[in-house]
Amino acid sequence: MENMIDKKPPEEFERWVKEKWGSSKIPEGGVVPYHSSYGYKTGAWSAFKAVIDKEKCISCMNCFYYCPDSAIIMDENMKATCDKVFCKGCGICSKNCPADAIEMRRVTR
Amino acid sequence: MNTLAEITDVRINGRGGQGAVTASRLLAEAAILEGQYVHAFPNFGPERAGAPVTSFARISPEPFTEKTEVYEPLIVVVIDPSLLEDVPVAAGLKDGGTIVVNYDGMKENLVKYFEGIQANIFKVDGSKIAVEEIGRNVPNLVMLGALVKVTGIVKLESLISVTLNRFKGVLGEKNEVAIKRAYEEVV
Amino acid sequence: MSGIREVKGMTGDEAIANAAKLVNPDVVAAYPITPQTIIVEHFSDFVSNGEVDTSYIPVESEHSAMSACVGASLTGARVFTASASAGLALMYEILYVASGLRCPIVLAVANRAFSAPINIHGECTDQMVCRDASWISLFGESAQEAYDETILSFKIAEHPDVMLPAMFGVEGFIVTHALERVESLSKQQVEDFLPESRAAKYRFTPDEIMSFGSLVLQDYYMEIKRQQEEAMIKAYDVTKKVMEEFTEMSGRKMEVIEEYKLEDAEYAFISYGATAGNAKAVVDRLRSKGEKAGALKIRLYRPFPSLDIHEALSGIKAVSILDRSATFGSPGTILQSDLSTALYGKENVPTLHGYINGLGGRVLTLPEIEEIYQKTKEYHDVGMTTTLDWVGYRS
Repeated sequence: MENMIDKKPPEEFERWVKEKWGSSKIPEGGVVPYHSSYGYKTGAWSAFKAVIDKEKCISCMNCFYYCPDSAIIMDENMKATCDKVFCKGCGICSKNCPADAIEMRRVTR
Repeated sequence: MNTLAEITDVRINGRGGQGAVTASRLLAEAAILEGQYVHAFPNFGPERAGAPVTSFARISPEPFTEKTEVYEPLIVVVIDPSLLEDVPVAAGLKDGGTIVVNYDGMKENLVKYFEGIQANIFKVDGSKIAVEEIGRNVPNLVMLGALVKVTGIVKLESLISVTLNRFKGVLGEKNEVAIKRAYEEVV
Repeated sequence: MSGIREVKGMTGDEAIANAAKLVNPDVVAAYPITPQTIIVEHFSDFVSNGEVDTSYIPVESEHSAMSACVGASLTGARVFTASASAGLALMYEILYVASGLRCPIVLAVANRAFSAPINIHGECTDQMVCRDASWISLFGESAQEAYDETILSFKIAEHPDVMLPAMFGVEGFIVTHALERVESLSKQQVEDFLPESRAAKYRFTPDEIMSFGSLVLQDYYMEIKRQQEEAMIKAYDVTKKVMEEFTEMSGRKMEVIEEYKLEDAEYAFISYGATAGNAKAVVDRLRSKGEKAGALKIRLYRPFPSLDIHEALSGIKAVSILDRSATFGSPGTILQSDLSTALYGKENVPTLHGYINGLGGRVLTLPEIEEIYQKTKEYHDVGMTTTLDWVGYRS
């Protein structure tokens, strides 16, 4: 399973969750720091994952912009890759790929 | 805070578009200029130009906190003579109060509208003065000129001052002339 | 030029607009509704004349107005808006968003009755029903108080211990459209009085990214709400302190409640808004007849000034609560319910007699208030501890 970037939530947020912070420690108004969403591995929700054929990929970046979970990453050759830790398998990238380079493959039985 | 402030209630009866509201406002502003205390407000309802409107000014030399309607005015100003037929302009007028009417006829003819009312009646041909001095039949401020002459509720200078502040340039000067003329001509 | 007091004739709405001009907020997003229209009309004149630096956002509804205000406030902007009755009701959803996100927005309310039937006149129900939205809430009696509370509200709301939105209201037409003597402040005085930097801990900046308004489940929602309550608790002392500073700056006494001849009084009126002014006038009339009457005016409604009220009412036998807000099927008027809880079980408290009056802008006349005084005395004498009446209507 590909996981291109080691995505971890900020340390303060991990402590917040682990120590179950109360009203006196939580930031005012419940403001959460950037990348707190990395703590929620939404990839575990899916029955399908996007599989991208890099030969067919034309680097248009449609999938990158459309992905609701920001689970598409452009690699060093500007080809799209799916971050399976966060891909929820919604299929929006596949539907919008003009080169038909993305296949939604079932990953559960 | 003062106890039992002596408040003079003025009611201005006019028609929508004639400037009754502006009149009560300027009267109040003139009073403020002299260091008096006021609560001046129009009567709000669904009206259009031509419908009878009333506006009020409550004036006192002492500070007061009450905010009620005016039920028994001491002074009534009638800006439009046609109101005499349509609206009970003297309703609630206190005994010994004053009415100033914009009227072009003889003062004796007014008495029939105020039968049974103990009031000092004054009249001035406000429309004529307005048309001749300002150029339009908008006699609201003209009537105030007559009002300050017969009641002395504010000084003429204060009224002129706030008028010139509100209406700049030629219009202000014309209003000043008209107000002074009404001051002289009211009977 | 600080210290020079200029006196002008202003209506309540004009006073609010002029005070807002001195505050010079960064953003105003508002939608017109009678009787608040004059506030935003005058203010938009100031914007187009360049007398203020405000970005004025004309929006399509009050819901959008408050939403725009929240967005602006989250960038750290100082935000002002105004509404009334149905408009306030339309933005009700976003009032909770504003306080939940800790945006110190200031909202001027021209208190107006709710439909149906349609009524455009003064009644305080619109602001009263927002008392649970975690907003600071103030009421004003006159154009002068409308002016002063505009400026005060910013300082209370933006205090780092508070950081909650604030609303203040004056009755529609009776105060908003009535001309009174108003002493204004100078621009310098207001600039010195209000804090320069916006003290919010978290705001959108280009340098740091964060999320506001996330989904929060059962495990964290209550903690974030508790933060608001703690801010409200602190807001009581903050308001008192800000009012003290204002009193010193302006020379006009501002306190969370106003006590009028209460020291030796036996029977008192409790009210807020323009009715309080009438109550004071009636106290004078009653005193001249030998009655030991007094009046208490509430300026700060949320947080509820329980301690100050309890102290002020010591020695009072019975109070007539003149409440210009509608509530139905309730054990007391809205103010009476709060008062009752504040005083329950305490020592030396008066019997409470609520009078719902003045709905739809009807004026409770001075003779009617005198009758209420007598009625309260009778209730007290026959041993009734709490009563609720509607007054001034035809049955």
